[in-house]
Amino acid sequence: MEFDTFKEEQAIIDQAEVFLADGQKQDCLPAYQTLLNEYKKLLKTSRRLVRMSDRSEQKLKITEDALSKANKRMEQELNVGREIQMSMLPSTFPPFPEHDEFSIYAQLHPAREVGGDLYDFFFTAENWLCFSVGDVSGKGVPAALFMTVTKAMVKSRASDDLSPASIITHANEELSTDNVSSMFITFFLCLLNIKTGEMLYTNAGHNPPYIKRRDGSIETLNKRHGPVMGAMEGIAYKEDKNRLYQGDMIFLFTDGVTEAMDEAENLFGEASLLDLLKSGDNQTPDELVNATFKAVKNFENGTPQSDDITVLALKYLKPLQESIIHSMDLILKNRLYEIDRMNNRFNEFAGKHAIPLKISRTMGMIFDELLNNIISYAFLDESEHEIEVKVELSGEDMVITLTDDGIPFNPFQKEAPDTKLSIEDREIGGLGILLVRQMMDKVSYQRKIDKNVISLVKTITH
Amino acid sequence: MKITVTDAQVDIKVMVFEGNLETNTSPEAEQKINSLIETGVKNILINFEKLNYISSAGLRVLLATAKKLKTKQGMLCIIGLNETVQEIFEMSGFIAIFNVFDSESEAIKHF
Repeated sequence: MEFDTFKEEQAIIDQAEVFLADGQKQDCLPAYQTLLNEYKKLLKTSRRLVRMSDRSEQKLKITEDALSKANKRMEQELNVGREIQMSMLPSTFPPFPEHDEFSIYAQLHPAREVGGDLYDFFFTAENWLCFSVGDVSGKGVPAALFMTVTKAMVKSRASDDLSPASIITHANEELSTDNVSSMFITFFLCLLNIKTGEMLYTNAGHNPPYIKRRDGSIETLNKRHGPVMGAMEGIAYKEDKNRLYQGDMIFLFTDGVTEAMDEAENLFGEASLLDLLKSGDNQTPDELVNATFKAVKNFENGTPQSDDITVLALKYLKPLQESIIHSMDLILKNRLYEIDRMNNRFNEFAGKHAIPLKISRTMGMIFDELLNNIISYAFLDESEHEIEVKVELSGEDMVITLTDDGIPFNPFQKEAPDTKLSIEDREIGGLGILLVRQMMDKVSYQRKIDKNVISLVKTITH
Repeated sequence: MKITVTDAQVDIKVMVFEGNLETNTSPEAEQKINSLIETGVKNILINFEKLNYISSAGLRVLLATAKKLKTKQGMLCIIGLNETVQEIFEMSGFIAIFNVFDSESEAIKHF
């Protein structure tokens, strides 16, 4: 039996009905009847309301439980998202202690809900440092994942491509194809030659970075080379050149800096950032990055951060070197007696540019081995061919290139043994190439359409 | 390349190589060595003081010579390696195969 909150009221109605049934009260009957009917209606409504309220309370309890679970899951998701994001960032500083040509520092402070910012830096080819910042449009785990994919695409393409425009174009193509989410990423990519200070960069919809020159002046890298990444396929991005000189600092950041808010919803703004950059303090990347975060935190004054904040600063430290290149070029005939001419010319060149005797002697052996190989094996006929030898001296590096138009022949590959040679002869043949490999810092072979090109690099330490 | 032959002792010939022992000069060197061996020489001391460098072609000649002399119960000794030639001998592993010495007197003791 249902519990009745209105027991008393019911009792009154019961009594009234008994009273009205008594024929002796006939003249007050209509008034009382009306009153009784109204009262009965009221009681019915009240009972219904109580029943509804009970049900609501139950529903509320179920909803609260569900919310609590969802909340816990979201917290986990936030943690996962943040873990994904932070684990992808290079976080060891200094990252390249052996390199004194530059100094780099970066930091990312994630918002409570992962905002998908990223920064990255790595060496691609010898002497080329690739560095970047990016900002994904969405939030949470999907943004973190999108950021991860972008980072991987860019890095993968950059391993074999020295043009930022090309890297971004290809990475964008991969990102945009089958991108069913409506997410996109703003991105700034820079390639820096750490030996010369030359810079190439592409800006894909990102807020322009600054360069603070040694004399204190600030440059904004204003050019934009294409839209945000991930939004549309078939975009050909552009790139621009610049140059860092000793003492120059390049400063990359995401809009989490300039759009940081205080309680009154004022924005930190570009002006404040520029003021910070212009101030004479903060000479190292570490100092500048830390100062930026400090300034933003102060400005926010306790207001929770709504977006990720990322800052990356790189200072170029290398003094300008005479990048004068001394070189010599010689065309030889494919005859063994030409090896002498090569050595004479090289010794002349070595004398002129103070190349140590030990190196010239070594090169004598190297030229003998390689030219012997080329002359003996690269040509199938007896007719005259040309072998071009180029030697370039730049700073401490000597690069030698040998080019011939013979059959595809790579002396560094294990060749099939010439069975006409005795065992000793065969072994010594391979030995020559082994010596070349060991005496040079780098050796490589390339087939360029119809030419064999052998490159050798030796760093000369005086 | 210039090759000078002198006598160290009664049955040891000293050969001084001046220049480079490589593709173009090895045949000549091998010829000279062979003609010496044909006249009955069993022990040869090669002095590389005046040698700039040696390539695998030269190493081949040295190896052949060492083998020939061994069959005649003689031997090949080498002295006077400069830094580059020493490095080549070490990298090729030939330093272990050949009898290399620091001085003529040491080498002669070995014969």
